[in-house]
Amino acid sequence: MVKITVKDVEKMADLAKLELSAEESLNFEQSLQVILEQMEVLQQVETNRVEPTVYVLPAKNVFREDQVGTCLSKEEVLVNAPEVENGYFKVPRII
Amino acid sequence: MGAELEAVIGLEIHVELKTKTKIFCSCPTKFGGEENTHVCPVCLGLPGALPVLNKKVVEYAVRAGVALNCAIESYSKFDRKNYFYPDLPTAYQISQYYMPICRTGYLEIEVNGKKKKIRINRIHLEEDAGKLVHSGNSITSSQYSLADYNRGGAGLIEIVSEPDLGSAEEARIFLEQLRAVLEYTGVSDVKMEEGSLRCDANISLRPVGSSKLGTKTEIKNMNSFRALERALEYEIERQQEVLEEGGIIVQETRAWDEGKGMTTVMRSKEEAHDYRYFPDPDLPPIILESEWVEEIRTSLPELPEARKERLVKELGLSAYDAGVLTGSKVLAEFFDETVTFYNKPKAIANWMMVEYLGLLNANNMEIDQSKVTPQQLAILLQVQDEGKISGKIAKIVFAEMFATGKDPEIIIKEKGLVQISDEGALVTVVDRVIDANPQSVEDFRGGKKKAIGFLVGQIMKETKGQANPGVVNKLLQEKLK
Ligand SMILES: [Zn+2]
Repeated sequence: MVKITVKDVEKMADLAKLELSAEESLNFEQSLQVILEQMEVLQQVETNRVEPTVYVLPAKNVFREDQVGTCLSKEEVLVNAPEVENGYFKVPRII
Repeated sequence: MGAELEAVIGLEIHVELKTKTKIFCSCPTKFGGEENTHVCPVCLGLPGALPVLNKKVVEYAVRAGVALNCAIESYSKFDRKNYFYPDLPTAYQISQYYMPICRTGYLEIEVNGKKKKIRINRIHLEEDAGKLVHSGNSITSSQYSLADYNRGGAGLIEIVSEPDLGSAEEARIFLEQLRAVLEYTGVSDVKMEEGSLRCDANISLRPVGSSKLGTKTEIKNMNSFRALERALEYEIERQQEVLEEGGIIVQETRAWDEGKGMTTVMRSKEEAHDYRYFPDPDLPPIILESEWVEEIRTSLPELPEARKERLVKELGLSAYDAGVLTGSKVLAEFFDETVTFYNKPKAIANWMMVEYLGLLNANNMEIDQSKVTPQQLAILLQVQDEGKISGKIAKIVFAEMFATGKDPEIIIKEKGLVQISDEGALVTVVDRVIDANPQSVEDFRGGKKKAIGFLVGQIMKETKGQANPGVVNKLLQEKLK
């Protein structure tokens, strides 16, 4: 069975941009392990003849026509931006 | 040196679809609006906003798929590709990872007279990202960046080829042919300079005859057909050198630097992203009715390959000329329309291949940006046929038509370019040239028949190209007897 390690937890946290304390990492390691064990139980079900569930609701083909609608005003667009410059969203150093 | 190496190349091509609105919202896709004015809660990723798929985007993806001989999937759906990068405000891109809309197609290309099928692995739908402007010269030297989301959320198809391309030239030809097919189907403007057609390449080398793939690098930032070919040529050489010196290829992403003419490392595999794809819960699956697919299939126009065949078989053009003229839909349409006014296809083809494309290329223009109409070109060729102007003058008139868009007859009249066929008018010039060039006259009489060419040239020069060469020749022959 797959074993979750603290390293896995740290990698996932890093990908999700979460900062975890050592204690939290340990905590997640254990709770994720429990989830994996639950999954292991599910793995035993015979699913060869079952279609994978890719969408849970009965909806399909929800389309709109290609017609231009209204956009937000520039003021509305930028109202919640922490920083703005010349109509752009100003974002901190990327790399 | 060990065994001879061969290149294995696959392309990933992003094509911006020519829909009026974005893929999941009704914001316009129009180019060049003021920053952040073509945005709404959906494409800004505001909480609670729900994406709704543009039907036209689906139609266009299917259209591209059938044109590229793909299997159209009856069931496809969207996934989220997660990454933190401010070109998308949602921190994920909606794409089709697990179940793309088209699979297993192919495109036939012709390389050095040989046909070759290049397989297409898949075509999937996705949204485009916004535009970032960095404060410094590069992303790494920038203290901050500016984001404009006007293009964010525009509909794209990504076409992924199998690694069937064996050289930089083949890759370039494949992309040109693909561009032509997409242009014919009308799903995109397919302009590399404007970014509506973007191409990345995966490339590796292996010993000839081996079926095992070598370690590949991914090349980005190639903004023209020429850049693609140059970048791949460079990369083949670079990998070859590394391997021949006993080194190993590092799997990494490299960027083509057009100015320096080389590729440089962007990121290595260790830094490669882990996108953690998962199904987008906001978007129901697409279940395509075969009727709709067939309707789209039958509505396809004549594609480049068929058009080329027609030009060769029915109009007698050479395969090369037909290939060039059908390589772009607007060019092919211009040709066909000119033929309706002037029924000498070969003469039109010659003129278009040499004069017209020459001027277009020199001015870095596409034919649809030119002022010359098919009817005007037809008239020019007609007037030349009638002997009103010489071929040389026709070129001058055409350059003027190209520059001003004026009718050829008006230019001929305004500039006084009508051909002089009147012997009485030409005889004085002929006499003058004979008197001024005794050496050539002597040469000619001494048996150097070629000397007459020089005299004709002088007469043409004196008459600013307006003398009828046939008449001039006749007069000279008489005088020099
Ligand atoms: Zn929008």
